[in-house]
Amino acid sequence: VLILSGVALALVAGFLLGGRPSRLGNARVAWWWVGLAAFAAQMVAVYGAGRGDDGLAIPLIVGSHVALVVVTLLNGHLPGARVFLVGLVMNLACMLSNGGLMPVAPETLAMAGRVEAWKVGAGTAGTRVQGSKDVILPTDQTRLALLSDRYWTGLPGRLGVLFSLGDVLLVAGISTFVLATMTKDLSDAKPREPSPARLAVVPAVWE
Amino acid sequence: MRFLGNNWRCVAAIVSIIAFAISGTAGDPTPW
Repeated sequence: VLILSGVALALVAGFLLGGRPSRLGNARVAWWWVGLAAFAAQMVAVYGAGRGDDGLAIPLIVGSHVALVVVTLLNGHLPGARVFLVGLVMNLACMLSNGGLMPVAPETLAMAGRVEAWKVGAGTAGTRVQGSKDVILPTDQTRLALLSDRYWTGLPGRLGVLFSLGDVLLVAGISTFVLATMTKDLSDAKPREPSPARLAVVPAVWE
Repeated sequence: MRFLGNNWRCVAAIVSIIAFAISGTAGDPTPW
């Protein structure tokens, strides 16, 4: 939800500033498909075969995060990439130092109202939070607790999500990428067939 | 989809960007 909101806001802002969404399609991102692969791997880990099998879920989750770090390093010149990278490393550091899943404290889950039995079981330490990459761990047993999933948006419904400090940097980094790419042509590719949007007269004030 | 410049590559890019970012987040990997 945080990422969707950040990207949506960046798209709207970029559009209002005279940017072109089509530039996103022309941006050269090395190994861009790794994001889709990582997402697929995490779906398996969280909702598929890895749902009740930590032996499968943890390698998939950690492996996909490591892959994202590598790809972000390869694309370090892109706008927002360094901020995004720091966010990734913060999340990964916290997960690795706590066994491979992101720790969340019982009181944090209670604060956010995530107390349903199907989601948190009995709420005991070491229980995986269903539908997430989290594992329940008391704060005093959590390494790098400051980087864990310990913050709550406090918003109602689907917007009431838990997040980490790393997540904040991820949102900032990806929003920067979207906004900067839309408003400045970073592509070194030859422009393709001109589309009506490309030919649209942009008011001089936006130039 | 005219504002996208009739360019589905752009839509694919946005989907990829969201998948990439969501995969990096700490908790819930689903966007809903």
